Amino acid sequence: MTAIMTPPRVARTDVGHKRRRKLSRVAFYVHLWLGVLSTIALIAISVTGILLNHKRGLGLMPDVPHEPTGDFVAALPIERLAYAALAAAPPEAKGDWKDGDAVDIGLIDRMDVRPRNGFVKVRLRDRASMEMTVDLNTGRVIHVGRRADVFLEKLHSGEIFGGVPFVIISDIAAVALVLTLITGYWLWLVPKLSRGTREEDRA
Amino acid sequence: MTTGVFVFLIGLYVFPLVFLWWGHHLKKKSPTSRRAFWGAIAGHCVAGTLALFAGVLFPEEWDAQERIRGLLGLWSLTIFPVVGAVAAVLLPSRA
Repeated sequence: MTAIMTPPRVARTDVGHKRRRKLSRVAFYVHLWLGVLSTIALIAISVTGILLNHKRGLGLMPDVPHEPTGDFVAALPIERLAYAALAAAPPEAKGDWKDGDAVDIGLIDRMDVRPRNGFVKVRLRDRASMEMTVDLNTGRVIHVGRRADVFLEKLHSGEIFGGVPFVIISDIAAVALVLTLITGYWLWLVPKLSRGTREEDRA
Repeated sequence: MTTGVFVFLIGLYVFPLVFLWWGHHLKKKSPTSRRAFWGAIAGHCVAGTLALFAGVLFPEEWDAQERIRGLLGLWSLTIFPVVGAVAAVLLPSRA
């Protein structure tokens, strides 16, 4: 019985070793090529990621402490808040718009209302993403500053190079990173596994 | 897609592939080819560092007038390796 079973077992382990060696070779080249291919993109994604994680501490995103000056029901109309923000914006951010003109919504990217803080953040569509923080009840401009994190987010995602389709740049890098990690584990663990089975075979 | 972005993508993904192909069995290649290879690698490393600094140092969107930033951020990944390779071939060898 044992004599019959022994030869197939040896043949199976031989096939197994060969297959593992072939896979290790593929894993090595995938690890090498994808690692080199995505190095610069991954370094850029990592650096911008670290900067974004600490955007408040690094002053990339203005942090404006504020208490509400009135009830939310008494808040000024959204158009008046937008006007106050545009009036306070630096000249390079508002183009041809001047005091007394109607609010040009083409200049505004978004208005982020924070009822618990009693303000609205009005972000413009200029290259520096200028943002004005306006009191909801009085219309007073509390803070004017640029949102550097908006640019870094676009650089992080690849969007800066030409809009949403360009997130493919960071997608390629991310897939390459995942494959490099998996093949790295394979290249680390499989030789140990093979050594174990060879010792078992010898025993 | 602008020309700058197209050149940037070549520098970012195509050049590393060229380096891998070029660096395969490097010992068997001629001394000139080996020097050009290392020059290109050095150029690409410098370009990568400068492109990153150009990108994050002034966190606001590119302007057509920002020539230096455009050169470092978009064109350097393609230009610097070529310059590095040519310089390595032309400069006198230490050996």
